[in-house]
Amino acid sequence: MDDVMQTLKISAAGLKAQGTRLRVIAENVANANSLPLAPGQAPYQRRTVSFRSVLDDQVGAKMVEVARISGDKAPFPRKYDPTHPAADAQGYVETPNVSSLIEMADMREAQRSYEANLSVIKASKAMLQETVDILR
Amino acid sequence: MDLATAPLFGLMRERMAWLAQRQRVLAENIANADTPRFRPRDIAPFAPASDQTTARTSVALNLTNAGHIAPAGGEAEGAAEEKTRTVYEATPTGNAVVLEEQMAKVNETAIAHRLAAQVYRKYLGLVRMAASAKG
Repeated sequence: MDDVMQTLKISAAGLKAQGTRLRVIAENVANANSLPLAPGQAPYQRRTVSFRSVLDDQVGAKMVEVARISGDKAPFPRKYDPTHPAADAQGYVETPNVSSLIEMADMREAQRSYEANLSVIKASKAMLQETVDILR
Repeated sequence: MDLATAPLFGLMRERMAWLAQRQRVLAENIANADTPRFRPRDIAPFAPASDQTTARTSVALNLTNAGHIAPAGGEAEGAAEEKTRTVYEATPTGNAVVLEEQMAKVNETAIAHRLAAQVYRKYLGLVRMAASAKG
């Protein structure tokens, strides 16, 4: 019984971590066209989420949490647009290093992991219900 | 008759405890499905302590004298948790959790739990019937 209760907490931590991942993906997609305001300024830098597994003393299980949210070190692609206010002397503007294809793939993956955690909660809930039903 | 040690009740209780423990380990695997360098784990196969035909994994103290005091914590401890040796595939970050495989195990565990709970209820019904039989 106690193990099943812990299962709910573990899966809830999984949902929270995947939720943070989705939030960061949303930030990336929303800022896919956030260009610099003036020459020499940097455009939006893509952000990535890394997870880590930690042993929670209270639950006594390996919970997942967001280790850190860091910037993507990939170089900014340059676009020729001499009329842009942030264009340099050669007429190039630095654009965010966000690829919507990668973000979409990442989003799908986060969605699948979220669903998997949700299914575990449902299965555990059914198990708890069955145990309680013995009393009836 | 002690219900907790009656053959079927005891066995089903152990079985449900084992299934609950397995469910917890599988939940850990699924929660960590995107954690770098995480290897999935599973627990040792179900080996009921009440079954005399299978080898016991834990060592129990024998009481050779009526004056001896039984050791505390007669409750059987959980099955050993072990890392899965052979994995189907691992991502470039070293994560070896295959969601499909884990989901199949979760559902398998949930169904086995339902079976155990139903058997428990059925047996409870038999005991009730025996206790309340009129004439």
